[in-house]
Amino acid sequence: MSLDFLLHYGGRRLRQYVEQPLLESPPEEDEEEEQKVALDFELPPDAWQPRTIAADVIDPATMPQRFIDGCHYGQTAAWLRDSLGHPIPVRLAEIGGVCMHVDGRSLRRQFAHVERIVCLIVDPFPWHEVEEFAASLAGIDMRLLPALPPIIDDVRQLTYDYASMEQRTYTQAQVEMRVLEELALSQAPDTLSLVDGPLGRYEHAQAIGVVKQHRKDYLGPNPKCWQVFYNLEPGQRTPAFRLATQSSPIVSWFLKLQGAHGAMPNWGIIRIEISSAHFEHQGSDFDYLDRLSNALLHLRCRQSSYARAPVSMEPIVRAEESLKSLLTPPATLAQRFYHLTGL
Amino acid sequence: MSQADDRVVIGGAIQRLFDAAGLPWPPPARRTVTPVPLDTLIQAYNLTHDEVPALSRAAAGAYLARWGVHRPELLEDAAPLAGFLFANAHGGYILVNAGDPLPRRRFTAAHELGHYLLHFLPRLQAARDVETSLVLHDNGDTVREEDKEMSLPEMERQANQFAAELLMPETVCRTATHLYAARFRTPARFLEHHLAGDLLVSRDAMRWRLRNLNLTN
Repeated sequence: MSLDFLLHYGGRRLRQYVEQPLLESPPEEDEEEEQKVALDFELPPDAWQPRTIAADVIDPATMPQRFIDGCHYGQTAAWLRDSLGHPIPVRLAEIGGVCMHVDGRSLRRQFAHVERIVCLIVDPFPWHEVEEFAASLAGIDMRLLPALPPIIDDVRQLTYDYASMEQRTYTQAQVEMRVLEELALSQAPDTLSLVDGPLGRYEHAQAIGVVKQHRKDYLGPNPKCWQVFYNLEPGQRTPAFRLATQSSPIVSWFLKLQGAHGAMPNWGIIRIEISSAHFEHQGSDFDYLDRLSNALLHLRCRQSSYARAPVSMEPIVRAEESLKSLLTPPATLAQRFYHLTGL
Repeated sequence: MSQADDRVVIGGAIQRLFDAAGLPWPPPARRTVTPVPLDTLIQAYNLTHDEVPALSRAAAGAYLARWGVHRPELLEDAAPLAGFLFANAHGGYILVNAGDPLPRRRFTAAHELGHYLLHFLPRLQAARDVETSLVLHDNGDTVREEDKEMSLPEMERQANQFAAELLMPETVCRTATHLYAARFRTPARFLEHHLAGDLLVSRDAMRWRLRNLNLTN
């Protein structure tokens, strides 16, 4: 058994509907760590006020020279059933990490790495069949990416809930994409680099993470902090707070890039992360956070046609476009996959 | 036995295993990394491997009874196990807990294969009585063997080292690391994720192995 593995377990194609429900981005549980938040890092919570950082002059030392993004472009192409009838989604995707580098007045692609993956939960299958399947995939330039089963009642286990199983393959591919982002980041560890997303476990002293989605509650039961958050005007930031993790501690704050009357109150707000080592290297100077925020403010995306423009950095949008140009359209990839696997 | 002696003994056992299976050892250096064909290797020694739900000595005893091997003393112990090995002069059985994750099942099976080749086979070959049989089981933390002649911690260390070398061959790890390093700077996490996925082992096992080989910090 090799690529026949899928057929052997009742593999069938999954038609892609025009209106696919958007998968939420759950915590990437393989990656995330417990984070203790110290809100009194820059100011006591009672003393929080919005800080205006917008300035015409940019400190060149705070302007990132490299811009890192990852891409995960794929679909659930098929599904199988294990011996107990659990649905096993098969996610076919291309994932990649890219770095754009400032070259004079333009941006150039400095590094890119793309992989084709077939991601599924392998635990319910005999290992020798999975070994052969993995080897056969390698022969057609695809990697088997084993996903872990979902956590149900604090235990990793299979479930008959298709959505939970599919979510796991999506999450696993996201985790792997983050590894490729880190790969792109690691190519020049001494250069100030902007990363799309949280820093996570990156041990990179010169990285700046920009987080567009606000999934976690960092401000807790502190009305004053929330009031400051919602009162931010474009060009203002919150005081910084500290996230203690098991790996490298993080200094973080919110910055409002854009916002207009009628927009949602948290619209246009990003969260910025730098490592504590980065902050200390700057003499633990909170003015540095102002200057850095000002640099990011000038890098904000101004393309009104781009849906996430209010929370995006222009060079990151360019990095995303550059990486996408290297990827195969999912429908084309799926057709090739169906052909090779006989589905 | 020193660690250097262990390496020689384990290396010799793995070489004989691959010879018996008609496979090259060390695996040829290739750009693509694929899992070691554990199934083929286990069968090279007339061993049967199987995955048993809720594995225990009792479940193993019931399994063996279906194949005409009657060990009633096993049937009374329902404590959960990760792996179980039974062997006699004719062959043997490697059983793993079907409920464990696939990478752990493979590691457990490789670990039991290590016990068989390093600790059982020499004794079975030396035994005058062809009906001699040996039983050993692992629950992940401790190992028990019916015959107390051997030092169990030493056996465990050797079996773990055997499984690591078998499933994550040094040459494969070194070649892959050097090939990646020739293309770009490779952070430890990239190597761990890639090689763990490609070799179908856990990331923890891969991390330990790469550090052990001084390929990552």
